Amino acid sequence: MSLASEDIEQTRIIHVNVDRIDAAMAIQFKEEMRQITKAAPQRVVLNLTQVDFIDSSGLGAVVASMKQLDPGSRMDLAGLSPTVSKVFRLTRMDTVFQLFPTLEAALDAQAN
Amino acid sequence: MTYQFTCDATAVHVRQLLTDLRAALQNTSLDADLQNSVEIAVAEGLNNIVEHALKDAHGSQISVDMRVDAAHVFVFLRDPGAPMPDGCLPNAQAADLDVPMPQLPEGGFGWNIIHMLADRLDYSRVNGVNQLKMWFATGTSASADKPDGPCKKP
Repeated sequence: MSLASEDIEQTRIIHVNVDRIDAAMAIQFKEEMRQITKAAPQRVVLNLTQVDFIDSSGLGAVVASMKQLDPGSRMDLAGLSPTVSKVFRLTRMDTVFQLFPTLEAALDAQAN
Repeated sequence: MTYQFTCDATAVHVRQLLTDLRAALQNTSLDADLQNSVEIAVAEGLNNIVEHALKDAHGSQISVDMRVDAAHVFVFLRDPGAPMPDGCLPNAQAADLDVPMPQLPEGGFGWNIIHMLADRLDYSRVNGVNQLKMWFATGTSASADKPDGPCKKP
């Protein structure tokens, strides 16, 4: 598994334990996310601290993963590297997801 | 400095090529942000080849030549696959994100990313080989004007 989850109060943190979310594993990522976010609490934080590369397939898989959540749940992203941030900015997906520089910052923020 | 890479047309082989490309870029004195831009744009170009041009020919080889000089990073991708539709580079078309969440796009970002990162692009087809060229200005000299492509959509 490239994902591990941890529930803290009303938040499920999904730790992404691979360094690339790319075309080679995007489908697998989406499926693992479907499983690991089942019955998730209202807020999911995707911890991308270990990820240093994402391509548009990977980005699509992250978007798909958000769409797989129960209605009313939200997905925030934490720990984006410069390369990963760049892909979100270029595609303007940084307007769709709330991005936090670190996991700690994401947990400190109070989700509405 | 010139670098040459080749790989089979599968996502796993592309990943290895990109890892090697990143290592080569890290050995240059190029700005980290530029290195990221080159890696991302080349990744999108390679994914496009695997998913479209060589969709039914995964044993075929993709070649990537990279030349780094004072003014530019030049990357030249070649593949023996199907031609671009209309023989032209796809235009940059930003996805519409102002839609309800269930309708957010999950794909189609690649060409827009390439257009935004490369200062200049060129596509041609010679003897059944697709040739995609990307130029990235290093910023240490005056930026080249972006020439109009030969295939303007009406």
